[in-house]
Amino acid sequence: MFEQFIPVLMVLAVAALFAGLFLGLSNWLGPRRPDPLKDSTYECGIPVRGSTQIRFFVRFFLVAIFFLLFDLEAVFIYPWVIVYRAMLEAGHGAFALAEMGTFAFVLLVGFVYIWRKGGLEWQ
Amino acid sequence: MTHFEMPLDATSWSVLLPYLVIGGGGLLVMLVDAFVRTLKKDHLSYLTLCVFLASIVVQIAVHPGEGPRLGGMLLAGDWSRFFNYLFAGIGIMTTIFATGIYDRDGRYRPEFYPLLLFTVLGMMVLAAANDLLAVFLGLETMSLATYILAGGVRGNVRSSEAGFKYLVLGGFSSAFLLMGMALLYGYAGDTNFDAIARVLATGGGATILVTAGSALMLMGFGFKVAMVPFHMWTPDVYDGAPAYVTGFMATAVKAAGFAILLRVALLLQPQLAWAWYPVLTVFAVLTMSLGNLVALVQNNIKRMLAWSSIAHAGYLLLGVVTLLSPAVGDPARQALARTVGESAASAVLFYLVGYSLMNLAAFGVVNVLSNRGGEDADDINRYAGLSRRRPVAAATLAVALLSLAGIPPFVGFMAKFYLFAAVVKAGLVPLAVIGVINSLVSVYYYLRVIVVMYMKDTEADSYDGVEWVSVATAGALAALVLYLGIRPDAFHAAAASVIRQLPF
Amino acid sequence: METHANETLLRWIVLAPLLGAAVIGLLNRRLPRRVAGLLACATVGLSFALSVVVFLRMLGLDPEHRRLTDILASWVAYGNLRIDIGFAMDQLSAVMALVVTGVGFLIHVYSLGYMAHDDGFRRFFAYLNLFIFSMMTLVLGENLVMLFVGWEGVGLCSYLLISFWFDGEANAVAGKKAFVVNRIGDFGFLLGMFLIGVTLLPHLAPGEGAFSFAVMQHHAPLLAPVATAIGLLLFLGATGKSAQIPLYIWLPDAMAGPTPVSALIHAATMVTAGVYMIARMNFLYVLTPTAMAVVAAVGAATAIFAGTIALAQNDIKKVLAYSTVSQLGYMMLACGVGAFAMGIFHVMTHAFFKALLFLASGSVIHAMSHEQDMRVMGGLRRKLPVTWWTFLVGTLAIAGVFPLAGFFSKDEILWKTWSSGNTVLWVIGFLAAGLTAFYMMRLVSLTFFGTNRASEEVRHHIHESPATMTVPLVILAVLSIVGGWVGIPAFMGGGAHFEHWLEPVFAGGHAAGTHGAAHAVHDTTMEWILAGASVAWGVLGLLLGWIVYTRRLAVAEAGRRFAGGLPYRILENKYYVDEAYDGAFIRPGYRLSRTVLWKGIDAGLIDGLLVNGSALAVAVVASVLRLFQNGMVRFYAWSITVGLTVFVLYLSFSG
Repeated sequence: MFEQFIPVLMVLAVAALFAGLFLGLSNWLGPRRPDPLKDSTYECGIPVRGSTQIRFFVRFFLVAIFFLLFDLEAVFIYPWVIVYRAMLEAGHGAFALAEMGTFAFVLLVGFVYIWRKGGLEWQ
Repeated sequence: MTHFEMPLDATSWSVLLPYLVIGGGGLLVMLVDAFVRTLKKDHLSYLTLCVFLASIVVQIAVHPGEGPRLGGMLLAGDWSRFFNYLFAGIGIMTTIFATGIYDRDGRYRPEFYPLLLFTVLGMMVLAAANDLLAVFLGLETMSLATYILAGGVRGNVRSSEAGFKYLVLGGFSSAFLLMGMALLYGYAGDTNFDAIARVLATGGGATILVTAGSALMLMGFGFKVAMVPFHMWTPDVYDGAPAYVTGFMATAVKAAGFAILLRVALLLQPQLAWAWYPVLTVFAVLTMSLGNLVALVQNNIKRMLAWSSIAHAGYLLLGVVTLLSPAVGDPARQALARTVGESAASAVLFYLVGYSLMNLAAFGVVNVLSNRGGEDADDINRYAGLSRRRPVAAATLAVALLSLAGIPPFVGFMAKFYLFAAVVKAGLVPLAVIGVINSLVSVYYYLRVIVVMYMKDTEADSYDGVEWVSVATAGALAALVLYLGIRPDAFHAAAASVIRQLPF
Repeated sequence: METHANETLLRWIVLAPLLGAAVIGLLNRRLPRRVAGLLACATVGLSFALSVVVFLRMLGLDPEHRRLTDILASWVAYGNLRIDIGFAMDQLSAVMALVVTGVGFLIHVYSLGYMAHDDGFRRFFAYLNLFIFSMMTLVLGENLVMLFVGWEGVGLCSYLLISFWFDGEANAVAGKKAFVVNRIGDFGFLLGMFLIGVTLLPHLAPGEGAFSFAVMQHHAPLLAPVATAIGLLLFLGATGKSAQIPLYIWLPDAMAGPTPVSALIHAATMVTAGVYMIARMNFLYVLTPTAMAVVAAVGAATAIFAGTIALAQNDIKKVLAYSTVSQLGYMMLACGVGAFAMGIFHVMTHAFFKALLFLASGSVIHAMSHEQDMRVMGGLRRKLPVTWWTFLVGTLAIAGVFPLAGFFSKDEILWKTWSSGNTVLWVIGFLAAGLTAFYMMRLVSLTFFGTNRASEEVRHHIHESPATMTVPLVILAVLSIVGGWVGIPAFMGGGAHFEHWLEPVFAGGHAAGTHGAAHAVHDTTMEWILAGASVAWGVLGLLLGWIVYTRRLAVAEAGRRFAGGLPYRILENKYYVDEAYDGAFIRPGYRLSRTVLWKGIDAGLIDGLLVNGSALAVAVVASVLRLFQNGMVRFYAWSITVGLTVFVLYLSFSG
């Protein structure tokens, strides 16, 4: 039963091989003459100001996590889309729709909760 | 390509009903919290209690029959009913204890109630699961909510630390668990328990997948029930979390973990007993010995109870070990195997209930004190003279601790009796002896608290008032501990009848 | 098994006193004294009334169906083992229930007066009610385990009531002694019970309660191989509770408790529990002639032994205490020769007259300002007329004077002993009967005759007791007279109703047994002769006692000088048994405890090596473990991984 995984393994092996090969080649062939300007952080030509390790306002994370959360939930809609047609043909269309409706409703409750609790307010 | 049955017929709805009540109740509590501006502090707790009671009423009223339902996802019948009652009961107690704390301090947390309901929902799914997917769904629903509960005291460093540690390590263990399930799926080609059992019976497929998979899954469940060596989060998290959450985790989460551990153990028993039996034996002995040893030197009552809960997980594991022992697996003596298996499993259920009762009673008292005494409120020495000033609280705690120590006539004794009797029946006398020695060791640290409460005294009352509803609830639990210790019979019979639903 | 009728009143017979005890105990000071006292009496009275009702209902049933049961709940059902919480009343327990609640009620009423000025009034009644509850559990228990629960319950109450005035050290010590001695007996009882369980359990169908009396009786043949061991073990329990050689020593000391307690617990009811238990287990005892012989011999020996000690005691209650021990010996003797019905008959009559004697002595003590030494009493006849007359009735009854209650029961016991061929035991019993008459008359003479030898002040206060105390005395006196008439034997033209009433209970035992009084030849002439002899012997004893201690004090002195220093001193010091036990068991035990167990094992081995050693070991282990419990999440995750890896590796290599 492992035979079917052999192509995957081959892809992995080839990818590792090529990546290693090119990294090794550039390391081996490329000339190296470092100076302070070259070692500094590259910011599209704009001079670097201060450290990169600064504190972000915690709201950034909150919003980012909310985004991530709802974004991820959307992933669950994909499998539903795939079976929806089959269910429609089997005569269970209404049920399938109701299921997604429930799912969306639960998400909505979560969203409303965040909203009412002030999770989306910047201050 | 795929054939669809009608997914939700009338029976399915009746199976789903309790889950819908709890889950829907959770959503309702969220919405009420978000929209009703004129809410008093206690209102959400009343609503939550109503939801729990409604789920109990629904369980009593609706009988969906026995066996796998919902396309084999959930196991309906007495087994799930038993655990649903247990979880709802623990939920009710936890709600009361939590609300008692909010009564006076400023740390009112409305989000606690929906989270509690979702945790219970996850547990109910986990205990009734008949499919690896349902297992994972239930486990994660339970865990995610518990992570937040543990870290829920905002602004408290220790609570945040507890939540963080639990989250990281919980995620870590869930990953292993998921990997184990994947391997098992790879072996059997199906996630349904019954289908896996069929494949296991025919013995096809690569054995390494199922052994490795089951090992990873065992680790995942072992983490939840605090089995050594996957226990290390327990003291830190139990100590840091507020006491009512700790009580909840030590009872409900543990019960859910053991529910699924029993199911999986029974599932894998025919083919994998040889592998799990010796390993779990070592783990069980390690778990109870380590738990008891380290509990001996704790000065903080929450930490002491955390280690004691590890020790009790060890006793409970003895029941699982018995299920996997050669005596149960022996095909030549099927009748005996069945009685031994049944008595071990029913002993585990009885133990879970007894342990929940006494532990909740203990945590109920610790909880009220812990919020009334300042920074070192959980120091055992602070309990000096408690028997004089707070006789009911002290007596309740004393009963709970004596029961935890396994002293008759309390339920803890009967629970250990049934459990060790099953272990002996399976011919595992050395294990029973180790268990008894461990109980003896445990008497020391439980009694120590009682000695401090009853035989030492200090001049000033170091706790400023306690909340009487919580104390009365804990007292009622203590009375139940005594009652079930004297009349364990009817209840033990009920546990035994629940077990008959499982395959042996 | 025979069919049982259900009778839910039984539970209320038992529970009513418990309710009383609970209410009085919980409310305590919030309850007015009068209410507490009345409540206690009322609950016991209710218990008695219900017992009478059930008894009357029982009379309406066929003799074979006179077994009423009331199962409240299943207590333990584990595997084959099933124990119910339940009560059962058959002819035997009906007698006991009536006696216990009836006499108990009278003594409750008496206590209202006797304890009227005591600080612990409510506590006393709570304990007393608790005692009645325990005793009824013992008597009505449906199985041996329930009986044992009651057995331990009465032991506890006895302990609490002996040391009721716990500020006196002697009282506390006496309570402790009773407790410890009884524990020795209980140990035997428990072992016997376990032996029954182990023997029966493998043979029982599920749902059959191994310890239920009906089941045990049904399966008695299974017990036959170990019947002797069980019988002796249970009898050890009975020697503790019923104060037989060698465990009788606690009972005389138990007189430290209030006098109503002595009357109720240490004379009329609790101490007869051992006799009741043996009668209850008659189906087992008839299987084992050895155990029966031991019971009979110990009973007879106790009867004479305690009787001689009673001759030389000066404390009025001590005399009665030794007399109780002696009478209990009679009851055991009856059981030992197979005359269980006669044993129970004597339990009943003894309950009447011994309760009477104790209560009357309480009245005397009350009048004498709590003086108990008979040497300073005397001449109380006129000042305490009711007490005097009732006491006299009690004395005549215990001496076996015809036609008082004691005559019928004692005479029947002696006759059954004779007719079962145990001549030696009969001689002992006969001698003891004479002794009884003698020392009782000595007591009466010293107390009620002659002149009062008390101090002026005490004498000034002597008064007859209040009605709450004298009315129970009169009732008990009447019972001491007529109580024996229910069992007038056949040779006198009576119906022997008592024996016939109990026959169904003991019939099974006799049928299965190899010997017993039922098989004895009926020789009416001999019966008349023996009855006459024992009455004459009793009257002789009475007369002697009267003459020696009232008329001819000089004779008494001479006799005393003749019986002399040594024998008298021996008796006065109770054969030095306490001292012997002290030397043989207590001191060596103490020394063993002190040097070997305490200094050696406890301090050295346990404290030193195990406790401190293990504490040290734990400290070391814990400090090592603490290193692991370092709070680092990374480390925790690492340990999980290591554990898992070891597990998987193990699986791969062992599979």
